[in-house]
Amino acid sequence: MTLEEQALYQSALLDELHRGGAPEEILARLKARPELVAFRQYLDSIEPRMIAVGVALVARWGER
Amino acid sequence: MKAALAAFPDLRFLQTALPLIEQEAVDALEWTVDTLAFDAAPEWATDLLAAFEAEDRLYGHGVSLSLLSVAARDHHRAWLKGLAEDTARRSYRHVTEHFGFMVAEGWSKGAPLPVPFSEALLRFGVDRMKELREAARAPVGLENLALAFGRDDVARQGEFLERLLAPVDGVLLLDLHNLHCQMVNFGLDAAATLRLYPLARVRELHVSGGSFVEGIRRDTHDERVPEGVWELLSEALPRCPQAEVVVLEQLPEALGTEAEQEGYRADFLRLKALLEAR
Repeated sequence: MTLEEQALYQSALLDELHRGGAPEEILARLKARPELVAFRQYLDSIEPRMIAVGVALVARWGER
Repeated sequence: MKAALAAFPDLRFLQTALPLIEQEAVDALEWTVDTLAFDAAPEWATDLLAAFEAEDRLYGHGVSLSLLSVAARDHHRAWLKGLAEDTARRSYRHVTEHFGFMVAEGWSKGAPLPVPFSEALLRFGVDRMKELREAARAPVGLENLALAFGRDDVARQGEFLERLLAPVDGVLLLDLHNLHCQMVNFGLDAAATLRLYPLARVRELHVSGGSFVEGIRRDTHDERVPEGVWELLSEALPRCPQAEVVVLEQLPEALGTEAEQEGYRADFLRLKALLEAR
């Protein structure tokens, strides 16, 4: 994973957590992004119930 | 071993902590350096920090650097400039920040989130740690995260931390409630969890409380220290030979009632007694 790919991942993760929805849907949207192909194995390791915590954190603390 | 409080520029903190400070039970303070975006603290807080700084009993802690945000160089520069200005007028025994990232392209604020390991990100993080050390004018370190998205995050955070800290001979701030969250959320035992971290680097520990949200343990700092964290403290201390301070954290928003204030003081005195008995 290059730094450019990490930057895309970090931005995409915050965007998708902010967009919300069911945790499984959020993970599916991240996995469908072609720019995140290098993160596919990592994304497969994520548990949907923990994505829900990320959604709550971004809703509480995130600011654009 | 010092028993310390995380200090906040909030009168609820002052009202709660003052009896402990007046009876000289508080060995050290931890100040969140960016709690006011590096603006000046109220006079009473400045005086309190100065009293502990004068005796080399003041620790610095940051929450918004977002160390591993790779598209946040302007954010990093502004934060480090603020820290450098702060440490030009106040000295800390060490300054710690958090593992993970919270901001990205299009995002200016957030909460720390885990990141997947890569060699490129490691190199990026080490460069930021060197900048942090320069601005801090003191040893620097990192705190482990509470949130793990999965078992990969749990398994890899300790090694990632070691590789970020080693090039700057950094310290690990071992937050025991954060570890407790991972243990509860992923069904881990204390010994196995502690083994994942470079405990020889631990110079500071945090104890705090939290809460359950939809069945998941969260590091919300709004409750008393749970028994699981006290047990973890007893397990961890003998494995952290360089540890010198344990800090009790509780948000001032959770110190509004007399019962909450009494609970906080009881937790601190329990911590003090536990450390003195070692």
